[in-house]
Amino acid sequence: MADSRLLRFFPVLERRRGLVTGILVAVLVLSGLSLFNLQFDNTLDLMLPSKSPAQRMITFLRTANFSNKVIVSLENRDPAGTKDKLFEAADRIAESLKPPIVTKVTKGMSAPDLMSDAGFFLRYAPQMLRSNDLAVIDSMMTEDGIKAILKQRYSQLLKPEGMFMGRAIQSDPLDINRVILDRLQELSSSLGYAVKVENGHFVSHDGQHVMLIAETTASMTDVSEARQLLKYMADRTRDIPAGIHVSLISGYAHTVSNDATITRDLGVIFTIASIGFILIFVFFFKDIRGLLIFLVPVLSVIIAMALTSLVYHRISYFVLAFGPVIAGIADDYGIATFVAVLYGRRRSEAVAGVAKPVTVGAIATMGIFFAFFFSHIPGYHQLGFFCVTSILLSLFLALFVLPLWLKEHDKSAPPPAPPDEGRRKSRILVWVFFIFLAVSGILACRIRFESDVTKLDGTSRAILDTEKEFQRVWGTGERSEAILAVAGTNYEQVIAANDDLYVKTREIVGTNGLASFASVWPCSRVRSENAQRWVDFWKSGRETHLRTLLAEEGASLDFTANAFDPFFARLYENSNVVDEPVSNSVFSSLKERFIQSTPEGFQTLSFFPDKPGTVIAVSGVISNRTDAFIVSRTALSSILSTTFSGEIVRTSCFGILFIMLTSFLFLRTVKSTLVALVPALAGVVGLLGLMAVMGQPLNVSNLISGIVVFGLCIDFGIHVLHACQHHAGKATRTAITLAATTTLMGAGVLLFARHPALYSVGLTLVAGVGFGYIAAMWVVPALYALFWKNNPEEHS
Amino acid sequence: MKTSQSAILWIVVLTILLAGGIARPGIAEQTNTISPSNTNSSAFVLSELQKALSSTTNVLTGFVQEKQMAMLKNKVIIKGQLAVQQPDLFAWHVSEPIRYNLILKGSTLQQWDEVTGKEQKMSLANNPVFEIVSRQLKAWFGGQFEALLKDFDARIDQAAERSILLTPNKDSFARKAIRQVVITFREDKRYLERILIEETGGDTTLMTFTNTVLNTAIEPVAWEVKPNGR
Repeated sequence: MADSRLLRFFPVLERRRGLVTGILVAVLVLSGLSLFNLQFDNTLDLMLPSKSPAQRMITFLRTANFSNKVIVSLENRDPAGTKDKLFEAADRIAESLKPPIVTKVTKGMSAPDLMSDAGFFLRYAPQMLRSNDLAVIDSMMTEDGIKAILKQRYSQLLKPEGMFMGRAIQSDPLDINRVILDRLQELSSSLGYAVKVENGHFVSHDGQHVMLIAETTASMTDVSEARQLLKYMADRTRDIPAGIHVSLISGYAHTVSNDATITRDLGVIFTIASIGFILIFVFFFKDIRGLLIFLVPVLSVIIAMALTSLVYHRISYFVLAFGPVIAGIADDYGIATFVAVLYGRRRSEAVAGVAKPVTVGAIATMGIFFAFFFSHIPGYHQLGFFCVTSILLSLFLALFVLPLWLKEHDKSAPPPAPPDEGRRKSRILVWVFFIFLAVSGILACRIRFESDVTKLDGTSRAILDTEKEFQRVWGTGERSEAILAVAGTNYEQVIAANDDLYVKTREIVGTNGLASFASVWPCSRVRSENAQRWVDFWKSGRETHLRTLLAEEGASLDFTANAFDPFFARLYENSNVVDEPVSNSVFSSLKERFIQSTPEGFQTLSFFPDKPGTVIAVSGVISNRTDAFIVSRTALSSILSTTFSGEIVRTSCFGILFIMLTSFLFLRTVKSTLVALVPALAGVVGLLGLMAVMGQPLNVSNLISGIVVFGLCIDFGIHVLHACQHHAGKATRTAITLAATTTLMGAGVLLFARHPALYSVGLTLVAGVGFGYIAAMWVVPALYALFWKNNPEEHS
Repeated sequence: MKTSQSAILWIVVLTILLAGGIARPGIAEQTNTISPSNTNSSAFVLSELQKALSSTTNVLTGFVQEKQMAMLKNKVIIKGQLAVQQPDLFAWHVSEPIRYNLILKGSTLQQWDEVTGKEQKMSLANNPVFEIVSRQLKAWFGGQFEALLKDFDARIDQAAERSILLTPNKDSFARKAIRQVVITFREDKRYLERILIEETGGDTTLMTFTNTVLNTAIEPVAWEVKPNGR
């Protein structure tokens, strides 16, 4: 039973205890120092498959240009307060926000400028109207068509609005400008905020709120920049008159709040875990050396984290959160060694006796984490590397370093083996187990996958409530839009590609359903084509034809013969292609919403209804393009489900294959392997059933926990079966119980986390390991009693 | 409805018209308020109007509108009726030469005309131009003339008795279309006699009020936009 190689090697280490310890301390100090430079990523990007549509969408939604803005919403809470007071406060705040942190503050527009700037689009209408628009104009130019239009225009003159419609009707009898105005209206309504302009300020419809929009250079994913920005904004909005309340809305608040939540959670988790482990080891073993068991995983985690950061640079917070879980797993090896030495004679013999099962268990557990490398999710690679390294280090420390500091026992009798389970009792236990599996399996079929990643946001309740109130005041209701994005390195190429897709997408969505910058400002090539087409259209005889029709039909409605001369006088004006009107406020606002700068170049955004059928149809338009993609919140759910299903299946298959191979190599028979798998099966099926009962969904963060549960529980199965086969008895039960307790504690501390992602991981691990332990302690011995007790030659 | 620059302008004038139509009974006794010798201050003039209007809750008046437009051969005569009931009801009914109705109820606008035969309904919350309509109406009939002073300068018309001259100020969106508006009160100063709007392009609109009734119950049919209601 004792490994002879270990028996020969161990005394060498015993003689060089000081050197071994010194090397360990040196490595530990270096690792500890490197942790001060650790960089963390608190977004979900690392937990999504690389370059997948899901990751692209999530990254887009986070980094689109709405993300570099802070909205300042001022509310008048004083019933006697006036709007002027609100405007003054807003002006004062706007004046105080300056570079370098805040690069621009938009507080509103002046109405005359707004109308004048909107008029630009009307003047250059010929460059915006496409062939289908001219076809519509052409269809109007019949006797009946002109008669109907002029009748409508005449009735407009008689309405209240008609007092000032004269000039508009004279210069646009066919109401061609309506096409452009409708498009501007459509674009404006997709701007996101329901504002009106009053006295040069953005005012809410209830008239009690004023808005400022501050643009900043701070990176939303950089916690320190986000914190600095929020402090700056808070300082600038502190001194406001009584009766006015200020709210700040931005993604930066989420960044800072998430970071605070995770930092707090990690602090709580590590503190509780450390105290718990120390208490267990010291009081259970009643030996201060029990602390050494605790040190094994701690040192391993520190060194493993340092190595992980060397390889991956930016570490996901989920990896760090797995630290206590790994500690709970990896201390099993120290526990096994400690108990073996406690009940053994000499250190080397005791260690050699447990080396094989401990190593096999470690390899089986590592197998699960090694399978993570076959996933497409970067976060899983980090987790796999961290966990495999931690376990490997823990194994080494548990077998070769920990025993060096444990006290040998000269005389000790092996503890008595526990009484055998009777066959009848064993049969009952096995039946109960199968019933449990069946019921849990049925319940597990009801479990759902929660793909809404916003539910894993650790932002505080206060911030979410503020945002909800903001949406109530400023939001445009429940309108849901998907985004068609076109990206590229060259501005004109991106605009031209957007034009091309606008024409094709419009056929699917319809002009009214598609908000695209191309509808009012095509690329220069298309504008030039449009302008030439406009000139050709009228010079081909239509100008003369229209003059005749207007004169004839207009006469019957009392229009003068030259009533519409202003239209013809300007027919060929503004057909030269002009540059973008950078000082035009309407143009700039629209451009800001629909065209963004990115690190790679530029991207255009077009908005259309986020309905499954429409998204699928538009997807067909871009199916062969690499420069365009769709961001759809409704599609994201199914994409995440499909993506993660694939990932989990692949990772699980690899993991289970590793585990079963490892177990089989150790246990030598298929029957033994299957029995050893029982706790793993109980753990996974049991936790899924329990989660279904509790109404807890699977999500992107806890999905991997199920696989981890499998790897942990099979460790129990291997150890218990090995103990049954070799009558290791009480020592093994003690070790396994302690191991399960510490694993449960390591996972259980995550239940104290406020961050919903960490909490869900804790819940799945506690449930899974709990069921697995129960199955290991009662069902495996029962199965052993049924299948092997009377066949000792089957023992390995 | 078309959201044009011109559409905004009519709203401004409309509110002026309505404000003039809701003159307070007994304003004749307040001759001091519109005496050239007392004050030239816009604020004073409008504050007096505010006082006059604040006691008026309902108005029902006929109107005759004469439009002289360069693009039409002949003057257009429009006849109709308008009604106002505080706090948030307004109706504009045209009977000649075409039938047209516009109703404002709270935050909703409805309109109908016999040319299209269609009834249109829109929320003011989603239509900024017509939201201005509602706001201006409330400003006038709630007596909140501070908002009006932001867009117009008001002074006594020295050339005409019982008249106030309104000219758009430099920041007003109305200045590109309106040259000036002249409001003339009736001799008893209880309500408006007429309003003359002179546009920058030379076109004019003269609106004369007839059979004005103040502070009496208005039939519910006045608030119906469909033609059956008239």
